[in-house]
Amino acid sequence: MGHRFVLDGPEELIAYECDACLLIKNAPEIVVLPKTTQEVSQVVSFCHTHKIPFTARGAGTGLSGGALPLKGGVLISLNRMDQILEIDTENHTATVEVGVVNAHLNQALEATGLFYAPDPSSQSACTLGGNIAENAGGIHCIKYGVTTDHILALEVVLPDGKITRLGGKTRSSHGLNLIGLLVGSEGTLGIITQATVQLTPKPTEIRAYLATFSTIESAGNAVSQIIASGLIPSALEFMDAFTVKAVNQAYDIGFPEDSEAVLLIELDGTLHVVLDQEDRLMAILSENNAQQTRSAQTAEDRQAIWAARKGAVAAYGRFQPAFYLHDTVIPRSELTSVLKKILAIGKKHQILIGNVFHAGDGNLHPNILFDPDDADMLQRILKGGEEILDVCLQAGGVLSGEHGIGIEKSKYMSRLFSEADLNKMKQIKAAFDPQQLSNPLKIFPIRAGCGETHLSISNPLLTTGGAWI
Amino acid sequence: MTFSEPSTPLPSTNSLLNSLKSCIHCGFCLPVCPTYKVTGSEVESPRGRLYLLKHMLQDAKNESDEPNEHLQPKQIEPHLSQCLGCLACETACPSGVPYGDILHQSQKMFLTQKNPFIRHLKRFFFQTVLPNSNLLQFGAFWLRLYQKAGLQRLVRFSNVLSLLPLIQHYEALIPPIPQHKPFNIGMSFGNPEHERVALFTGCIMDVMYNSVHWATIKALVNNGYYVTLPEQTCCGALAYHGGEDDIAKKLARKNVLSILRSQPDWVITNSAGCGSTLKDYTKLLANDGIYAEKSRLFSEKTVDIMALLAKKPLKPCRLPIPQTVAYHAACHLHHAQGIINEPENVLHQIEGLTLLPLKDAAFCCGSAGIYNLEHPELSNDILAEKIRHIEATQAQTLVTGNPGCLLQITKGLQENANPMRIAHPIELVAESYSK
Amino acid sequence: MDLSTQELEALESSSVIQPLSIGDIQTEGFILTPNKVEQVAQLLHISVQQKRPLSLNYNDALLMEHPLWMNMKHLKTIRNHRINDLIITVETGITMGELRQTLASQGQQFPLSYPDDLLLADVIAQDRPAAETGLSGGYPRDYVLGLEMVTPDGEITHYGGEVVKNVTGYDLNKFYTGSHHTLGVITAVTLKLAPLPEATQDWGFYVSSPHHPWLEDLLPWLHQHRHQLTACELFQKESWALWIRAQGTKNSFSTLEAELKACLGNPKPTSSQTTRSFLKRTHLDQSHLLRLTIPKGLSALRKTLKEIESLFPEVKSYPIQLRLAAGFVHLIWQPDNMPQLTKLKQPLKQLAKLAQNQGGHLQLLDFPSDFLSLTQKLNLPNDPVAQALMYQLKALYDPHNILHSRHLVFSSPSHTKESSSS
Repeated sequence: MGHRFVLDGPEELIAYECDACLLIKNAPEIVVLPKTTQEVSQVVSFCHTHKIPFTARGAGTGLSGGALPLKGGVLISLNRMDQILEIDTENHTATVEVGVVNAHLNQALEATGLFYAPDPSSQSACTLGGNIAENAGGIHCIKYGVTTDHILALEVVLPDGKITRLGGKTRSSHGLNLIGLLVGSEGTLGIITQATVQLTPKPTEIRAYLATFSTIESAGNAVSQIIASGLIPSALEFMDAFTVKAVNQAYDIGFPEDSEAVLLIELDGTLHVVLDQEDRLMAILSENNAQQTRSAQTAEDRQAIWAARKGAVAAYGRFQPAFYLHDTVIPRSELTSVLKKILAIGKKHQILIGNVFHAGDGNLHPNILFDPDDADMLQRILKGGEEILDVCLQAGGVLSGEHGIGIEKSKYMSRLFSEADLNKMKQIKAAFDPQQLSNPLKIFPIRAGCGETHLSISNPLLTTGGAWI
Repeated sequence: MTFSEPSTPLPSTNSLLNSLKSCIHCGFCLPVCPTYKVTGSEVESPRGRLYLLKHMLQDAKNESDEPNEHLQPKQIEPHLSQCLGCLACETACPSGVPYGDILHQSQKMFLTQKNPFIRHLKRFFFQTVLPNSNLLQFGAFWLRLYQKAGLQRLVRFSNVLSLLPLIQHYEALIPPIPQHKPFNIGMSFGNPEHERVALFTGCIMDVMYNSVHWATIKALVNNGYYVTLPEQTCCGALAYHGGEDDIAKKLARKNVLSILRSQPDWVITNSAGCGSTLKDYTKLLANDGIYAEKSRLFSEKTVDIMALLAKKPLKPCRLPIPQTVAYHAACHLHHAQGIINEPENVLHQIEGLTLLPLKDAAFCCGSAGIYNLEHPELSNDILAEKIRHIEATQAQTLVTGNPGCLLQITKGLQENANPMRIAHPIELVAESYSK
Repeated sequence: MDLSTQELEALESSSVIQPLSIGDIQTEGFILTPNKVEQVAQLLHISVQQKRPLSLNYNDALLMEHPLWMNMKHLKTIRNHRINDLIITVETGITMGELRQTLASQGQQFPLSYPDDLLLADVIAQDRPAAETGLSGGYPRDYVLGLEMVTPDGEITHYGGEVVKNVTGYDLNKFYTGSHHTLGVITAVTLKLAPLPEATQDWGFYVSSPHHPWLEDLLPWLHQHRHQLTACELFQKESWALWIRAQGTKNSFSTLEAELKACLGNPKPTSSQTTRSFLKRTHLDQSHLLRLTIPKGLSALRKTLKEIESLFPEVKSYPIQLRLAAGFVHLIWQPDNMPQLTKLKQPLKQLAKLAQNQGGHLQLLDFPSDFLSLTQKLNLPNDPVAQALMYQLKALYDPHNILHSRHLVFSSPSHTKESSSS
């Protein structure tokens, strides 16, 4: 592979000790930067033979610690595998290496009239491999679906180093749906090295709107009503007053700051359909007492709005150096009541919580801001975070909508799944990876006495009370 | 040459740590970082560099830990010094991390880590050679002779330099040194009634691209400006980026005083690197007594030639320029000064000229001050990427607003024997005005 | 878990277990009609204990020697209908007709439509593509948000939730949907719903062969309107005809119709009776179905069609159906015109190869029993590594191989014997 692409200096390893989730850290023992599937396979085979754990990493933008080498071992960074191998405009597919940055694929597609729909907020930096591993969502997936809905084929290096190709240029599954199983498996079932993705024809008409509300209730109700009406906007996003302030500072975009809640909505399709939907949308917004409704006049305006929305989470960096966020999904009819409870929790623990999320999917992102150096604050945000999770689960929610479980939410898995449910998943893991080498200790709760004591499990995020350490 | 240890006040750990806190590790900076792109290594990315710096500073504060496990400055310094300083990461950063400032502060910290001999050699260069235009012209004279007398051809043909790869690399960077049409301090052009601009000539720019200055003057006069050439010296960019603030300050004070004395409405640069440094004088001289206010005024007046021309429509051009042109955005224009659309907006007004899109136009070319001299291998990798995109445009002319970029891209195209013309955008503007 | 005699008797006396007769003939088999999910677990256990294969598909059961046929018809409780969230959790013994009626009473629908008598269990287990919403393939897996599956070890497992987006743990929704009852019995699902459209419109036109240029205009038009159009099929029997369905508001249909006619160059409409017979056929019932899944572009379609025409010169005597924009090519045989295995084997292999080279594949659905080993060969991918993984996963869920469906065959020594003797 060449010495240049094997990193083992102490400072080099430290740079890989975490991804965008800053709560838990562990450095790998070596980092390799392969260029081809064969190289990945060689590294994995070596690990398999010598029982060395390995973890794949893309751009390290994940928020659940998915790329964190929790057991040390080899970190396989796939960002150099960044070739777009084929764009098939006739069949609406693209075949890519997994290190291709999501936004770069869309740049390459610009002239084709097609686009790759899943657009996580980190799309300017995140790789498609990471998107596939985490089954990433995004702003437009309310209409276009999440990553798994767009994956036609995968090339995978299995945990024993064997290479397999699954799927082709069609959506159908051939035999058991291993693609469906691998997408979102967070690198625990093998390392995906190539993918064929489904492309979507660009709509001819796109319109974006911004609506402000004086109460969270009216915004939440508007969302519920939009969904119940069967109107499927191509985006339906919520921002609270604090987020609007942060975004305005970072992007100078001039969102109105005099309201409690802002909805960003996009409609797309043919002109005829969009006009029709616009009427229905406006009626719903005014019925729910929207203070003001603006529409983006030009494509540039629209892009500016979405760029600001996508940068919102990072813009919180202007207030506190770190954030801890949940990614729960709740039934959309519960939005208002859950949001109000979250705000109350913030008040109670005196923690700053910014809410910016995919309202149309019911996918909440309460961002709890904190300073890692402030031990007292750390305790408060962990307590608050726990309470937020309770509220969401009580409302019929699930742990994660698009960020993945990783290490950051694994201890909560048993609150959602029975022992039998979890065992089924663990058996699948064991069938793929009997030696537990591929991205070890992820997704499933870490049990006491598993010999993982070398980890600094003092971290409260890793552990729960009772039977789980 | 003095070997006494120069005294640059070290930045406080706390203030640096505070700046570092705004990085939330989101990774948005990775795909825009040229060194990350060619190395694939997170340590050569803005996020990685900041993370290591933070780690080291925290280690140093934390006395209870095992000190021998602490990250040492000497482990981090190479990665920070591999940074081009293109500041593309600042453009991409949603959290507003002041990367340029942090880099600058840390470089001051790392000065003591560097080889003292090389450091003093550099200081000599920064403070004695660059600001001395006579000395520069003297050097240029000999280089010109080397090229004109056929010696260069002989050297390149005989391939003797292959024995000394580093020298060969440097030799390749030397562009044909054009005939110098000198300026005299105090010269002025155009109608004194018009808006008054002071032309900042810079050091390297003046030697290598003297013709660009003449083009600048022509374009300005044709657009109704009165151009003056007040007394001035090197802007100090290289010293400033190298963390040698004492030298940079000296030069800055000199420029601020003498140029402001000419009472310009604008201070014009046609070198992106100089421009961004002149604008940074505010920061550099912020605590420098009477210079604080003067440098603020000075920086406010400083404007890149293309940004100035973009303020109003061009005076009608008389000659069409039927050329296809691609624009490479110099980092110190695009990222450091936020001058993004102006150059193309100006070029757009020239009749017959067709602008072709250049992929990753705002990606660094690998020149970055003296980076191409210090890190030839990385610089070449970054350049190769740039040249690939430039060649893909199949434009007749490539334009860019910085001497470093002009040198670097010239070298890259020459190696590929590509006859594409390389110019400063103002040269095309000037050409569109008949004599 | 060992089933006591008492429990077994209880199951028999409550008619959960009854002898299976086909017509007047009493078979060696039993029909199992569980009333509760717990009974499904018990019945699976019996099946494992007696090493008797269990089928959820009546047709499959008929091919077995001592069949246990599980009829899910009593498991049809609607567990939760979140009307405002457009989400329902329902047991899978419900027929698609019953589900349709239940939802319609609330102004809602499951966006994919199927024959009324089909069980939801089969739709989910087969991930059966619907003709409607065929533009995105019409796969039920796109609408499954959660499910409950009883595995052969007697565990009742759950996955997913009543939310529209979920990455909590492995995506077993996707893995189980379409597993053809080979990993376990899916007893309940949570589905994503849609409001009933304001109006629906069908168009039927006679068209010339798909080799003619009109298709080049039609395909981009379909993609452009894909959110309004829910089906687009081309049929051939004697001549070619096109059926298109749209949903939306009534006033949007006139524009669509004008554009469609322009694409087709003033086509001749089919009679409403012919259109009705299309609709009937599109459900692909009571037939042997060859499904080619190919990339959705024009070249792949035409190339495939050409190959079919040369391999099966008599193609005009049985229906061929193209689901445009979804990339399906169906060849439909009825029991009375089904050719012999020997005659079909080579052409099928050739066709499979062509599909594969284009990035697609071929599946045989509900083919006669003598096609079983060919079905197995074609319905699993060629890649030995992928195949080995599938076998491994099958063995993990169903180590005694009591659940095998002809749609997705995992061969095993005992199973091969059974199939050859049946």
